[in-house]
Amino acid sequence: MTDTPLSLLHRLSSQPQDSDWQRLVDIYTPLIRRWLASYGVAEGEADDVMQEVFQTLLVEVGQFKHNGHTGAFRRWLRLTIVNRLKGFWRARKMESLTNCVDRDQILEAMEDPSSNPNLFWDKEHDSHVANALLQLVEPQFTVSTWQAFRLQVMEGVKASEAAQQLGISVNAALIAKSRVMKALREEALGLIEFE
Amino acid sequence: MTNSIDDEILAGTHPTHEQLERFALGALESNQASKVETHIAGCETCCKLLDATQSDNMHSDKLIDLLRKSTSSPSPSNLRLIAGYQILDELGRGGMGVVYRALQPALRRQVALKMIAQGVHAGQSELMRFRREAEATAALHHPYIAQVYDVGELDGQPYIAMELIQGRALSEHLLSQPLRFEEAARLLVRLAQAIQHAHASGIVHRDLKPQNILLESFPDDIRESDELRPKIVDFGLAKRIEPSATVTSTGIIVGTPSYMSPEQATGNNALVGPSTDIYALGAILYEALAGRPPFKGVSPIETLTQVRTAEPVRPSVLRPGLPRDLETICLKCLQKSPKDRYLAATDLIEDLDRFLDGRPILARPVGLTRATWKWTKRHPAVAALIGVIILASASLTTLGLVYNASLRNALGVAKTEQARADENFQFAFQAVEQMLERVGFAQLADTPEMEGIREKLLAEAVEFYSKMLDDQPRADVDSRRQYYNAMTRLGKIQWTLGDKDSALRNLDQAIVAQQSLSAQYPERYDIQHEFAVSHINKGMVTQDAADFRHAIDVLQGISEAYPICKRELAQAINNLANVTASIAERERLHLRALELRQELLQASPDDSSLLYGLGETQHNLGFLYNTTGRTAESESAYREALRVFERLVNQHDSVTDYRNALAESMTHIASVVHTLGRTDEAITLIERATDIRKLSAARFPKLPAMREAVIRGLLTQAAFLIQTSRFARASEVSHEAVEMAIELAQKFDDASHQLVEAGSLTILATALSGELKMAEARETFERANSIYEALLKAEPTNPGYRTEAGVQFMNFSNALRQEDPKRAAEFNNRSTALLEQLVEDFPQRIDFQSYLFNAHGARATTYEVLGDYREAVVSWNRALQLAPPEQSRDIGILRALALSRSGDHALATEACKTLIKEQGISGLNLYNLACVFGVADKASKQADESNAAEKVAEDYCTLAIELLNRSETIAFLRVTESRQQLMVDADLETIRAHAAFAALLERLDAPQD
Repeated sequence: MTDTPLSLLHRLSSQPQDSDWQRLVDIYTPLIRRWLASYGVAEGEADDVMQEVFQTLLVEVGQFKHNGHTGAFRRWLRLTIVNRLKGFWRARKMESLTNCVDRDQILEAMEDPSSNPNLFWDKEHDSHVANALLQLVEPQFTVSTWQAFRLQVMEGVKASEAAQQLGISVNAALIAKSRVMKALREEALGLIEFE
Repeated sequence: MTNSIDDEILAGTHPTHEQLERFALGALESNQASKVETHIAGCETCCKLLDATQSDNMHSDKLIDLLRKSTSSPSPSNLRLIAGYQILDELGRGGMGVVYRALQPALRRQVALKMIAQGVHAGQSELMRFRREAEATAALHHPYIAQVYDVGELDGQPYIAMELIQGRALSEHLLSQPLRFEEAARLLVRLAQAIQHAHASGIVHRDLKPQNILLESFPDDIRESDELRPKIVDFGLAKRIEPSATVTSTGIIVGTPSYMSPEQATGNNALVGPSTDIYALGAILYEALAGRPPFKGVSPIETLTQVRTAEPVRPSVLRPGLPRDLETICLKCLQKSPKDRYLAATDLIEDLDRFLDGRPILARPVGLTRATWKWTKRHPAVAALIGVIILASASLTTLGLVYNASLRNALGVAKTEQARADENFQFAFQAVEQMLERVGFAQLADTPEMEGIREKLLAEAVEFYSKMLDDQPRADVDSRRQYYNAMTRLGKIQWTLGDKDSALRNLDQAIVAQQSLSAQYPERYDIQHEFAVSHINKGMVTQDAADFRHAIDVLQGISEAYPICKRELAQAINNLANVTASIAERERLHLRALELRQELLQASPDDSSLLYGLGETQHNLGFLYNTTGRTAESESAYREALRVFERLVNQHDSVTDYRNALAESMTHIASVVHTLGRTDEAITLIERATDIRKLSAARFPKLPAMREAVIRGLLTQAAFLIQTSRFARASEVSHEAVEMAIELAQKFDDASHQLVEAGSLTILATALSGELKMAEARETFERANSIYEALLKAEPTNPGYRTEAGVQFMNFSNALRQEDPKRAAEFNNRSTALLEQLVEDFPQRIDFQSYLFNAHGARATTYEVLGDYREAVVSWNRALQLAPPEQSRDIGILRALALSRSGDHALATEACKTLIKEQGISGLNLYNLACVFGVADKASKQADESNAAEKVAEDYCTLAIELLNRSETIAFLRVTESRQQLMVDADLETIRAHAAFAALLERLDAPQD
């Protein structure tokens, strides 16, 4: 009997709970919004596209197999967004009176991995996900555990100093850091590659 | 030291460095990690080791690296301190603004903090408005309005701190279930109270919708209270922070227009006020009861159209059992016109209270049977079309802004950043082209809102094209093409707006440039096509056949390979026909255009612009046949046109141009039918046509052309009535026309309206003289006359004035002839002089020749009344030259009669001797011929008693008697009036003395053979 906790990605592809979905949405909504905005996609459209992206993820995330390449998930996600955007614009084109000339260029740029916003996406993705996870796991820990972790990791304070500031033992501070780090690492598995 | 990790730990030995390191990074598996945890709890050595090595592994781990970096990057999810508020998290985000949940540490409370989002560029005026509105709403204190605590500014960026509502939006609440009737009414009372408070404070929300109403949740006592406690948010800030409607590049409003009031949907900002909020309250009540907003189209455009024009589905249809009074209250709020809604929120509250108390409400059930609404429902396609046009007008200013902005980019940045500017430019160009397509040259749809706006939009388009043409085109062929097309467009619009000189200048420039471009690229049919279009447009301005011929030559050359150009080919041929003098050639051209248009229609049988073209050509053919006396053919061509226009009107009854074309064809058929003697039918047709035009005029009260058309219709009707001697009715009808005309002339005070006034006065005067109200008639004629003379004095060569005055002076003479032949003769002389000059100046205008022919007939008649037969003969001679073939015999006989009366018997009888041998002469003409010989007989008997003269006179007498005895003449004379004329006619004085005359009388009295 193993109690190995599953990462968010694993849970989503095996037995997802509503809370897991909420977590994915919470993590990725701001990132995708920023990314779409950087291409000039209008706010209202971005919301609609995101809706579709998440619907696609809901269906397809179970089929996503990490191929071991660095950045496999973020690339897969990026292509999903581009495809949804394409479909969305195609549908809009049918009903709208206008034919926006910019759109093909936007899509072209999105598909080009060396375009600036795509490089930005790769960079932003990991740091954003890490940051988002930080907030997601925080409620699992007591205030003092969290503070011990914060002081050591974020502010580079030694465990002994953190223990002194917080009035706890050194080993408690070390354990606190280890536990939060472990939670973050597990949660991030598949979303971010550490090696 | 080669034991397994487990063994070491079990053995009480220390974990390895690697294990410790992985532990510190949280990378050990759970069971191992807990063992290390247990170990370090009792092992100071390992703790120290971990403490010491911490900084080493910090730099090698990617996750830590990411975590450390993330704290330094600005992100709304980071803990930040703004103006003393600690940002906790983001609650929502809109176009410009962002709302955070924040902590106000000093007061230990959580607030909603609204700001303009970072990176959003807010202009000075927007910031001003944000502040002004923020301060205004801060003054509102009401239990059902989210309280503003603090309004401030940080680094020039305003923020608002307000009450944080724990709960969900009404929109979410309604997703699960509609409200119970009384629950909805109570909720609405509260909302209306809040809105009343705001209105009393001078604030209008303008964006009330279920998303902006939060319902406070009371986790503990929700069952107990059973009341929905609403909190209205986004008060007055809606426009800044979360725009419900954003304007896209093309000027189309997107968003959720379901709660927008009709005045907002039409862009009628002047009407937006407290009643706008009343409307929104009605929409919210509707949704609370029916489970959906009152209007919800598949697209925002359709929704907006519905908001403007459709009646909402009665909520009781969607929610069976809905009390009638609650429905009435709801629908009263949703009235299209603000003045039909509750005038104040207090009135709404009053009625809701009455409903809740079971007392009768004050509002009356609304009749939902307005014609315009029904009409929209029956014709959804038409309604959609109007929707598009209304949007164009609703977003007039924003449309202007958008393409002006694009223009600045396109034209200003062009020098430094060619490629980017090009995109913007293309975009702006497309926007204008689309706008023109919607409102420019196409038919005016039946939307009174369009009055004036079309001109305004066209003027903006002129500005756009002019700015665009300030810069030189780039060298590539398509940039040049587009540049020249813009020139043509500009020319066409300038012409539409009445600036003929500028129009010609631009069209000429475009033509020269397009010609050299097409020489350079002979294989490019599109360039040749555009070149031809410029020629057609120029021809419309110049009315010069050469321009249309140019276009036709070019288009015929490419029409096989480039069939798309056949539409313009047909148009060019049609236009050429209209300016061609030769009747045969005109007919040939019209038939060719007809054939082309029919061919095109086979491919697309429902294409309305092709259908319109077909009707146009048929109508033109009808006109041609009518002016050349081919009356039967004329009628059938006009009837073809009528059928086409009727079909168009049935399919698109909103399009005023189609209705007017239908009225025009009816008018022309009436005239033809009248010529054929079916006067009653003609009057019926003209009445129908006038009714159609009155409808158009009522819909476009500010467009004078529509009223002019009504006046023309009334005048034609009056003219027909006059010709059938129904003078009293004619007076009535023309009086109506005169009143409309005077009103128009006073309003516009320009020549064309004075002309209409004078024309109406003329017809009225004619009708009055028919009624024998001579004093009134003369006074009316003189009023008309002074208008004509003043116009001619100002512009003596104006062909329009000359035609109009020339024809109307003839009408004056006709009416005055018996009473005052001398004044009549003055008018006749003025009339023929004006028209002679016109015919000389415009030899190709067959209609001018026909006017002159009539004018000479009238002049001759007046001089006959005056007894001046020599002058009469002069005019009959000219009339005979101008007469159409089928009338030349009549005129010839009248001329002969005048000649004879003037004493020139030789010439008169000579002319008649050939005539009397002809077959098929009418009884009237035979009688007149008899008179010619009668006059000659009388003259010769009076002049000389010699034998020779007697002999000649005997001849004249015999001929006269013979003519009077022909069966056609006998039939004519059996009519009582003719018989009376026969007995008193001075011309026949000596004939009546002849013995054979008695025999004639006996024959007339005898029973008919």
